[in-house]
Formats: sequence, C-alpha cells, structure tokens
Amino acid sequence: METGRFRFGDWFVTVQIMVIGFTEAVHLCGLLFGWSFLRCTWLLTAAVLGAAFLGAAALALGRAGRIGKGRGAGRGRFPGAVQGMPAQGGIGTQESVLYVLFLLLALSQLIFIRMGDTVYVDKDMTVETVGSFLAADGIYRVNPLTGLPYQTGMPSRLKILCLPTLYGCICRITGLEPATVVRFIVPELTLIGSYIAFSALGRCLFPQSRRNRALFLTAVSLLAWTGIYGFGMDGLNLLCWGWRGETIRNMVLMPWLLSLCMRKKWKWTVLCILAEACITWTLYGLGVCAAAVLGMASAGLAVRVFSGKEQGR
Amino acid sequence: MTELLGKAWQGWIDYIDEGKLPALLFAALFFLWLSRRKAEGKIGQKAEREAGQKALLLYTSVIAVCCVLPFTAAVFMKYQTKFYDYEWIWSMVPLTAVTAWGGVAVLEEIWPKQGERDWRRGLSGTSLLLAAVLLCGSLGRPAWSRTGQAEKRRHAYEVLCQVKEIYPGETLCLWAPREIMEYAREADAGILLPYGRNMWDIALNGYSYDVYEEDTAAMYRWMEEPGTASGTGANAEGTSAEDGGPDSVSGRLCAGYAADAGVTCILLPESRSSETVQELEEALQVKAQKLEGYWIFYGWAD
Repeated sequence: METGRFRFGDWFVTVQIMVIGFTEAVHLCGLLFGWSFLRCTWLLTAAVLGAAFLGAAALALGRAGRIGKGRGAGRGRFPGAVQGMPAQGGIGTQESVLYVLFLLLALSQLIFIRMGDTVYVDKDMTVETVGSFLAADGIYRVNPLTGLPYQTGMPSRLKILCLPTLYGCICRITGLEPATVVRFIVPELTLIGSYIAFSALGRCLFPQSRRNRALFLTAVSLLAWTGIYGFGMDGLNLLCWGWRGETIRNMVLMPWLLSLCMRKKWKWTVLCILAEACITWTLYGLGVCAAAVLGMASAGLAVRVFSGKEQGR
Repeated sequence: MTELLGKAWQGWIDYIDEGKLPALLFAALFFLWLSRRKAEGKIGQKAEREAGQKALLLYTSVIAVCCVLPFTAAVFMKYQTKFYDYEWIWSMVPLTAVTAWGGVAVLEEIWPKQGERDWRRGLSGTSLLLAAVLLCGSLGRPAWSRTGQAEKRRHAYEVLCQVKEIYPGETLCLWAPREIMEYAREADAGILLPYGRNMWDIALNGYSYDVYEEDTAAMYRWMEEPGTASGTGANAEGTSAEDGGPDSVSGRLCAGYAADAGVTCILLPESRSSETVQELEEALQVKAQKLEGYWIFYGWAD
C-alpha cells in the first residue's frame, strides 16, 4: 500500500480541516474578547486567503524545484509526496458505466438537498444561531431562539463549537440568507466532501482496481439513499442534516480517518480529532475520532501479533 | 447504570425498528471474513495492504458487536455524554463504508469472468443484492413526515412579511401561534419572541440553561388551546388569582404577561371566538385588525 503519497482527496479534506481550525480560532477570539462579528468575518477571510496564498506559493515552488532537478512535474505530485505507483491506463467501459451511475446518484442527491423540503429542522437551531450572530453582530450575545439576552447562559461545550461562526461568515461574505447557506450550500459541500473522503478510503480498499473503486462509491451513494429512514443513519445525516457537525464528522472526517489509519499516517489523525472537537460535543475533546484511532491502532496491533504468531509456527 | 443499560437495550430495539441496515452490515462482515480466509491462501498478496484491511474489518466487527451488547453500548453512551442518544454511538461504526466494501466483494465474486453463464448469474445476484439493500433500508422512505413542511414554511413567511409591512415600530417582539413563531427567527433574526421553539421541541433545551417562567408557559398554553374564552380556560393549565377559577388562564391575564415580556405585536388565529378578540382589545386598549387568517394587535401603550 502507498504510505507516502498524498492525493487530491487528502488535501481537500485537510483544507476543510484547516478552515475549521481557523474558524475555531476566530470564534474563540470573538467569544472571549467580545469582538464584533464583522471583525471575526474579516479575520477569518484574511486567514483563509493568506493560507491559500501560502499553499499556492509552496506548491509552485515545489513544482519549480522538481522541474529544476529534472524529475518533471507530474500529475498529483505535492511537496513531500513519494514517487508512487505508475499511472494507470485509461478508464475502461465498465468503470465508465459505474462512474456515470455514481454521478447520477450523487446528482439526484444534490437535487434532493436543493429541493429544500427535505431538511429535518427538529432538534436543531443552526439557522437561528447564525441569524442571531449576524443580527446582533456578535457571538452568542442573545438567545438564538428568542433574540433576547440569555438569562442564565448556555453550556460551554456548545459555546466553543465554531460551525455557526463559519456559516455566518459565509453569509456575510456572500450576502446569502442563513437558511440558504445552512440548508442548501453547506449540505451540498458536505455531500461532495463526503464522496471525496470515501474515494480516499476506496483507494485503500481497492488500490489495484479502478472498477471496484467506482463500484464502492456507487454502493456508498446507494446506501446513503436507503439509509434516510432512521435517525443517526448516515443517509439521513448526509441528505437531511448536512450542515451539522455530526454529519461532517461521520461522513467526511471518519472515512478519511480510517484511510489514514490503514495507511499508517497516524500523525494526520490528530487533525481529525481536533476538528471533531471544534464541531461536535465531545468529552473534553475526546470523541468518535479519538475512539476510532484507538480502535484501529488496537486492531492493527492485534493483526500484527496474530500474523506474527502464525508465521512463527 | 441500570437506567443506562435499559436505554442501551431499548435504543438498539428502536435502531433496528424502522430499517435493517445494521443487519446488512453484519452480513457484509460475515462475507468479508469468509472471503479473507480464502484470500490468505493466495500467493502475491501485499501484506501491508491486507493488514490494513484486516484491521478495519476487526475494528468494525468488534465495535459493531459492542454497540449491540447493552453493557458495552452503555459504556459508549457514557463516553459520548448524555447530550447524544443511543443511535449516535453507531457513529464509531463505519457502517456505510464496510457494507459497501462487502457489497463490492460479493459482486466481485459473482461477476468474475466474461461469459454468458456468468453474466446471467451476475445479473440475478446483483438484483438480489439490490433488493436486499432497498428492503433493509425501508425503500428509502425518510424518517419523518415531510408532508406540508414546505407549505407551512411558505405560509408562515407570507404572514410574517405582511406583519412586517403593517407593523410601524422598529423592534418587533411577536407573540403568535406556534405555526408562525416556529419560522419567525429563521425568516428574520430581527424578530424577537417571548418564547422560542424549545417551548415545544424539548431537545432544544439542551442548548441553553434558561428556563421559561410559568407566565410564559401560560402564554404558550393559552395561545395553543383552541376556543379558549374569558373565564372558561377549560384546557389551560396554570393558576391565577385574578380570573374566574384556579385552573384557567384568561386572555386578559395573558395580555398582561405579554406586555410584561416586552411583546409589541400579537397574532391571534381568526378561528378564536369574538369574545376572546374583544377581551384582548379591552386589555390592550387597541383595535384588532384582520390579516389573512389572523387578528393582529399592536400599538398599545406600555
């Protein structure tokens, strides 16, 4: 298995996590220092643009360095990446059909989300929270459900979660309504991010077979459709609750984290654990991602020990 | 702990009540373990890749079983804190990924070679697998009733638009039936409410330590009880020394509560009795106006 090569999917999820990280920093500053939401928006925009500029510069320098050393700028090469497998041949008929099927399923899901009559708003107040940030020009200055100042307060472990700030900044920058960003834009981005994360996992499961990777993505998409029946199911989270931190954790962070564990990229799993702590309620920062890393590490150890015993016979 | 064990067991029963995708997961795990035993005999498998896949298989199997068994499920529920219900412990199980992996493995088994005989076997096998997925997933029916949700939202937005056009003041603190207040803050965060959705959506109470006063609760009950008129209050709970009896809350009293809560505009359904409308007019010293299915009151002195 390729352990050194970071592909587009890996960088895509990493960038998402970095945006969450920047948002969390800005959110905490807004909360602790009472900064206006406008100030927070500008700071976040500056941080993201600055990071994008630095990333593009590093990429350009890396490619220029490789050209200068005579290695050639290849497809999908990033600084630090190991020269991996030779490029695979063109897409066959079977893969084409499967990818078209997957794209049709994904497109139907995007349309489903866009219809707007499908969101599950019970037990959730993200739109009200984002709206209150914008109206009050501050973070948690008023109770989102009433618009009146808090009398007692709210749990700190909820207060530190940064997704409403991120969505509010998007509203401020784009001029879109909170309901549009929260219920349409973000779930569509989550859907796309989810399939990118699952494609990274598919590459770990089927590194030699493009057909099987296409089939895997199609199966994931179909299971997302059929899983819309129940609370806590991946399908419902992805198609009806796409803006929530639990959905981003389960459908973007977890598949990518599992692929990292399978590739033994343990240091990168810390990003997932930290991102989860910023977007969902956790036990002092320990959540599903931390448990999954521990579980996968233990399982990997058990496999190695058992394989070693078998070989020793 | 006993309560948690009970919740864990009941949670599992509810989790598999609507659909059976967890059963599909276990079937996929069984098939993957079976096919793994066969694959281990083959020459040329990359050990590292196999180790990673085996680790995922082992992890998923163990965690899925732990999510079913009440004791370990209770431990997971304790770990994820009381903020989440039972079904969220399944976030640790890569259900979709591993079920899809199993599906691919099955298809790879039944579509191995080109040839007419394999083509027919492959097609019938694929159809059976598809049927199993659709049936286990309850044919993709959503968990909740979407009927009328868009219509309710549209209606609420229209009414709120009309209220904002009519209302002359700067700050609008609205007291209205639930079907309007439910969408008020999402339509316009500038609209204030004396109580929010957590009055009826109890799960939202976890987001705040604030609790509503009995006056506010009485306002909600009075607004939502159909046909309540002065002095009767047959359906209303709460007590008051000022109105007709200990178990009724009058419109006059609720109007007072609303004014104290800072409400500046009241919407009353047209279906309410004329006595109720009159009672509010007298209490607030304003004339009610008609607004497409509602009576609107505003402009009273503090």
